[in-house]
Amino acid sequence: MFSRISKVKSLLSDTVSFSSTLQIGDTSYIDGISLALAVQKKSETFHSVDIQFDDYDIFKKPFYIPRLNEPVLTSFSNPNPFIRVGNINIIGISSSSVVGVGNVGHARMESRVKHIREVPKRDTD
Amino acid sequence: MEFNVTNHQLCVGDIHITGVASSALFLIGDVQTVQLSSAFDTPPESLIIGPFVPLTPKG
Repeated sequence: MFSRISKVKSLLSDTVSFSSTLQIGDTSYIDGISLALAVQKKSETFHSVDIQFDDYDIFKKPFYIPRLNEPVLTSFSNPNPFIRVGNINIIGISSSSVVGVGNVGHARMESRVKHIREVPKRDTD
Repeated sequence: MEFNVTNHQLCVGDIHITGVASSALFLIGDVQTVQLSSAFDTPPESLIIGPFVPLTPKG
């Protein structure tokens, strides 16, 4: 099934942050979850914002996953077993993302973001 | 459903990526199953205009 070999000349990434992964080599499972609260508000002093994840139901709703209702017969043939890539230049890998060179078995990634913007009312109008 | 794949020459030149973010996946290689899901909501009530009000949890 997996007989292809990934050949990469060079891979450069400036940042790998917030539980992200840069995987060189084969992987059997990838499972990433990213929950984020994006709060934008204007205030002179930076004081902590007291919001919990379970305040909002976007973090509770289960995801609808479409089911395969028919048998799928797949057959792969790789006369040329190489994947050749030149230089890879990445500025940032962030918030539980994965950059992988090599084969992967099963990958499941989930991301939920709640945006909150607090804009001060203009007194002029 | 039948799905037959024959891979011949696969060569890519250079790749420049600005960002791989929020549970994104960038793979060079084969993968059996991929399941990506993403949810974000910016409903109108997430935009609060007016004097300072404490952030109400519900929303």
